[in-house]
Amino acid sequence: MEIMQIVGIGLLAAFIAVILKPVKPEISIQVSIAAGIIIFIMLIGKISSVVKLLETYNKKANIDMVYFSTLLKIVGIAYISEFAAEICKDAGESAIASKIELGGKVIIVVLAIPIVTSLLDLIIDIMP
Amino acid sequence: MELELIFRIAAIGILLSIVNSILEKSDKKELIPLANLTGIIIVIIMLVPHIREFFDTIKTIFLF
Repeated sequence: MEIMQIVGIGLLAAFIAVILKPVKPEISIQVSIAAGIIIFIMLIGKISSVVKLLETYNKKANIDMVYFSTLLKIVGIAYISEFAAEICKDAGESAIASKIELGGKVIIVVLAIPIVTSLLDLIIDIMP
Repeated sequence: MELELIFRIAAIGILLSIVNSILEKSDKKELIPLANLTGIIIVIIMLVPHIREFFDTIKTIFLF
């Protein structure tokens, strides 16, 4: 199944990265980046089918598309910033990793503002 | 199916370390940083299209 492949590639890449660590630490980071990309590309089919399913139910319940797309963007931003932050931590640069996470959080807050404002407007209308 | 990329990067890394030790033995020590740099640049050039494809797929999936 897919999981066996993912575990195999992950262990192999970790093994190679450990071999290269003392000799060439720069190349071992590249190996971990390449492994992360390969594993994500293997998962595309599954993620996009989940997204399509959510999209069809979103249309069925005719919820506004804005909410769903912002939600997806937030998930994407969270994934990418976590991906980069972990790689920076592996490379020993935890300061840069926290900066990347800070950036991700700020962008997510900015993206969430329109939803929060619409919620607050709704609450204000309801209040007597 | 993409294992070949990992093996290629590993091969370049090991090759680089061999080149380094050769340069050390034939006391051309000043060439070592140069060899390191070229090796890393080669690996980066190999990785860039994959990273671009990675970002493009994220854009399409997460409706950026």
